[in-house]
Amino acid sequence: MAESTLGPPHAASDSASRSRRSRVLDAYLRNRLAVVGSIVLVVLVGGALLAPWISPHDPLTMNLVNAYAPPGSEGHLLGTDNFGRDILSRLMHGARISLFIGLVVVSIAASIGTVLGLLAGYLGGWVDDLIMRAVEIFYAFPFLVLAIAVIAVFGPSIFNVMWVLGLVSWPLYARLVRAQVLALRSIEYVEAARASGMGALRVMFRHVLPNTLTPVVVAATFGIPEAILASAALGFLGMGVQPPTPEWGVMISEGKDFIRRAPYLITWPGVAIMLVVLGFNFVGDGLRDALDPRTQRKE
Amino acid sequence: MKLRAVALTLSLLALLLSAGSALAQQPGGTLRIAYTSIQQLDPYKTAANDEINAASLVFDALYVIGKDDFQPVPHLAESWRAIDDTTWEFTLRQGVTFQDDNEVFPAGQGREVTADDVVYSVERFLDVSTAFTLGNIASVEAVDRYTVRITTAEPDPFLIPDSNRLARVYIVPREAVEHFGEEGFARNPIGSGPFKLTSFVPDQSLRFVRNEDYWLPVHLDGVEFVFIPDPTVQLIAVEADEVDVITYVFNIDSVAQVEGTPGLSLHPRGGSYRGLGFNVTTAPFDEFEVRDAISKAVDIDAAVQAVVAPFGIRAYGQVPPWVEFEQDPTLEDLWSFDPDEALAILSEAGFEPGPNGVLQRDGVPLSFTIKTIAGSQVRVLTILVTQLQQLGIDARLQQQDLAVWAEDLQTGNDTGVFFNYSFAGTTGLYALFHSRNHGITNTAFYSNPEADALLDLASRSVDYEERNAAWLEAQRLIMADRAGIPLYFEFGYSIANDRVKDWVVPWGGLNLVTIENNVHLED
Amino acid sequence: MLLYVARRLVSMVPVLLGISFITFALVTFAPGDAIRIMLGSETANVENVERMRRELGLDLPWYQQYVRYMTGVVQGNLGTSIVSRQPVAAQIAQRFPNTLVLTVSSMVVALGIAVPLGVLAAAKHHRVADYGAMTFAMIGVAMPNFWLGLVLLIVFGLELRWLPIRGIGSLDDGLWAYARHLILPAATLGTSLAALLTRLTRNTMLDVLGQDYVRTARAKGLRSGRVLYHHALRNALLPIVTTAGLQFGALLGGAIIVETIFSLPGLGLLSINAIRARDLPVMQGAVLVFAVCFMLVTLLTDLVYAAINPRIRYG
Repeated sequence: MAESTLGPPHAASDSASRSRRSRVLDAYLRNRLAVVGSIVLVVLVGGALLAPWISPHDPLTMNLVNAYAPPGSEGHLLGTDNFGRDILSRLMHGARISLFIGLVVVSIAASIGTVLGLLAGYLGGWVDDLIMRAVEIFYAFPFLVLAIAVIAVFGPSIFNVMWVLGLVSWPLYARLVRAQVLALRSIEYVEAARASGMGALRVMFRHVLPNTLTPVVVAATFGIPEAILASAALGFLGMGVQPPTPEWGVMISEGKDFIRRAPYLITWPGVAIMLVVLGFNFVGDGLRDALDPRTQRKE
Repeated sequence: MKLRAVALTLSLLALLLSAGSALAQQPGGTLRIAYTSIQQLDPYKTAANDEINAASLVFDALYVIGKDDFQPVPHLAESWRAIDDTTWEFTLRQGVTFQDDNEVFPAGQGREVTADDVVYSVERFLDVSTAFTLGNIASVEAVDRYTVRITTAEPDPFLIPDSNRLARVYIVPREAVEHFGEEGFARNPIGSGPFKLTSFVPDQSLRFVRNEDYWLPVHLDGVEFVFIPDPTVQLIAVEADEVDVITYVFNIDSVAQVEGTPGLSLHPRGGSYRGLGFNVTTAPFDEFEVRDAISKAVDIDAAVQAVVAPFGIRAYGQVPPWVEFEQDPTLEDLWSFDPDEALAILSEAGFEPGPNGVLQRDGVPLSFTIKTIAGSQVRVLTILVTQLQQLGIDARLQQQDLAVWAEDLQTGNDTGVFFNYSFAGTTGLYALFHSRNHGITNTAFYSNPEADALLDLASRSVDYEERNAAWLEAQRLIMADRAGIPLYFEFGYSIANDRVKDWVVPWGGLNLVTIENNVHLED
Repeated sequence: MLLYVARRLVSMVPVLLGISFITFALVTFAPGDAIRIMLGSETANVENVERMRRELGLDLPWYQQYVRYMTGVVQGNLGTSIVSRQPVAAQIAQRFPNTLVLTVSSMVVALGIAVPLGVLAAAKHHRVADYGAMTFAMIGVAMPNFWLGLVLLIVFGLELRWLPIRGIGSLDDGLWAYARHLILPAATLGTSLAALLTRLTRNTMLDVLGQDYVRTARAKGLRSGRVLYHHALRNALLPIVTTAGLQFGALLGGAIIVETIFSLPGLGLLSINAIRARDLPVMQGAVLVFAVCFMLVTLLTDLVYAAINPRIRYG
């Protein structure tokens, strides 16, 4: 997705990088959506981090006599669910889970993808062939089917959801990094480093890797909301995080049986997912535009 | 015997009545039924309600399970009687023909159903049925054109009343099975039933049209099965008037929502047993005290009240109210909710709170995962798990696919506690707790020679009093042993819109046209 | 050109082999099998079920099963479903059109939203209309499929009763009646793709608008609407179309959930049910068809790209 915006390498002097940094920041701040997205994310992350202290109720405590309290009820701003649990508190704790899943999944995918992409691009030959074949396999495999099948084997749990989603989403990063490496390989300073007898590994990690980071960071920004959506989808299908954990997808799955009686049971978690995904997408767009020299030239 | 005579009289009466009402009413309408998945239509090879419901329209069984008291009601067989403890003789209705106007029977040439067809069908059932077990049949023979004798190897009082045995033997014509082959027959079913198949694309479209030559008047013009895999969407579909009937409500919460909806009605009938099971051979659940303590640590009444009531009732044993056995009122005293007592028992057994608040013994925490499949029990168990956690028992819940759950339980279930259920009704106790079924349906691996003996006795006794007493005694032993914790009986429901008249909730196949009822649509 | 296509087709073989092996391994080593499920039923006939296991060769070691299966596939036989005992190829053939129609109509929805919004956003770069268009597009991707589907179902299917709640109609009832069924599912699936394509349209348009000949055209006094459509959009279409093509795979994946909610008997539902029932032949077949589709679409996209863009030549 972010493939179209690979910038050229930036191995420049300190002062130049400092001025570039401020230019990037300027460009980012000029994008209003990116700023809005950042604010949304800060609020959500803050709420998630502070959930144990600021959430009004315990997310798991049931109060069966006070089930289905509508939004705005006393003490329950967003209402209570079918077990009388406070929805706001569950959403806040759910944010922790969703964000955590998003971060871990992207870290796994980006690490695997970056390493394999580096190897493929730098070494070429049969290593490249092998890795790119694997990439093709993962691309051609319908991603949700693969995830569901793997969950079927290893059982649904938050841990399995994270590594499965990481496993199925690495090829994007591998492709990005490989393309970047191919572009860099012929660049003089890499050639020079090689000519001076530096080992392949060192060249890769010292000179090539840092230059691939920009597209990876941008891709990761979009990867987090994708992982959150995917884990919610798995939760919705009953193949993700398990109740009573307040994961957002699980909340929607549990709430859908009451869709007529208490539609807000699925409305709030849906809105929460929407906000977090929007936030990351705005930030991602802002980052990409700001980091992309072409966009800057245009302004 | 007396009952059967009454049934016969009733059936004649009903026949007259239904014939009369057919004249009075404008028959007609196409009934639209929601379903989750229908892949094939051979009734011997599936335990899936949807497929059995669809197939049952095309075929007739010897009798149907009556709509009010679950007693057998004559259908293709006009009557039957026991010749001795092991021999049943069925007399067939005369002049019933297989459906014509198809590849096997040309128009106007539907062959009459005879005793030979019954013999063929029983034998085929024994041979190919994967979903149901007929039992130990010694012989089945045609005495004359309309009389069949079935002999069991030993006395078998459940052969007829159990809805999953002889009641499942739909009569099929040999010519059709041989013409189409086993797989082909499953796509082109031909029987003597009230509806003929007109089109079938698995999980897409399935239509039936009235069999004009049926031996009873058929009011409906046809039946259409409507593919809707998601239970929530099925409910929306019946509300949006895109279907007329949901034959079996999967999710009890749906029932609560329908209750107040104008134009829709709930039709209750039978149901299922749902409880907790222990693998009594794994530590620490091989200790009676641990199982006992867990039963006292959870407020089952509150959970059942919150989730299931009024569409289910608390269960104190496994025998549901809709089978022939009596309810045992003394079972209630076996169970109590007493968290303090539970903690005391556990403490006595050596479990003390550890540093993280979780009870532990010799450094091993009291920690387990309850494995379950989807259903109302997930909510009930969510409550129970929350209560256990509050007592310092590290209980968790894991929802599994049917495949994983079945394998897990059959191979011993590493965590020792699981959701246990029984839909079969009559013989559920035998299936779940007799040691003969270890690793198949007895996934508690419970083994109690005394209970086994009682269940065996009951399974062979032709005397109702003796059978009932032995069954209830076995139930009491098993419950007192805490081989499982019964939670609740969930009632079964159909949801139908109010235009549907004379609907009977399916009990091993749809009963749309029987001597008891004749479904039709009315505006 | 033909040689190139042939090479690409050949290179699919190892990928398909890999996919089939992964699928096979996953299902084989997953706990539970189709036979176990049958045995798990209280009423099951243990003897007959076990006999069936032998007849289907499910008691053989896994590598023998795999070889047996692949031998069949090479001969064009996708095997028989364990659950329904019907040929897998027939099941797939019956369901494939449904998924195809769903994905194509979703793509139409996605492009129908994305191109106008993207052009608008580019034309009003960094102005309110830009932000509005982008926000609107992104809300589409931000709403989970399963959630949006349910909401649309309730609002348009139940409350307003404007549209049918099931995604499948019969062509016998006329084209409009058939298409009506597709509106909600295509809207659900299409909006999730629209954000990506809107963003792409916008960025590509910005690139093109920044190029010399467009500036020249503008300088020459051509009205900006004309410039936008005649010069810029035409040049921007190429990358939009190719990226859209590459997203068919994502659509196929998303189809699973949309098919479940809108009762559309397509490949997605088939594969998810097959996983649940451990019906290996069906799952294998469905996944392989998914993969072949995906790769063919990718190839087609590349060819279209080459056809539109004369600078690219495949040798």
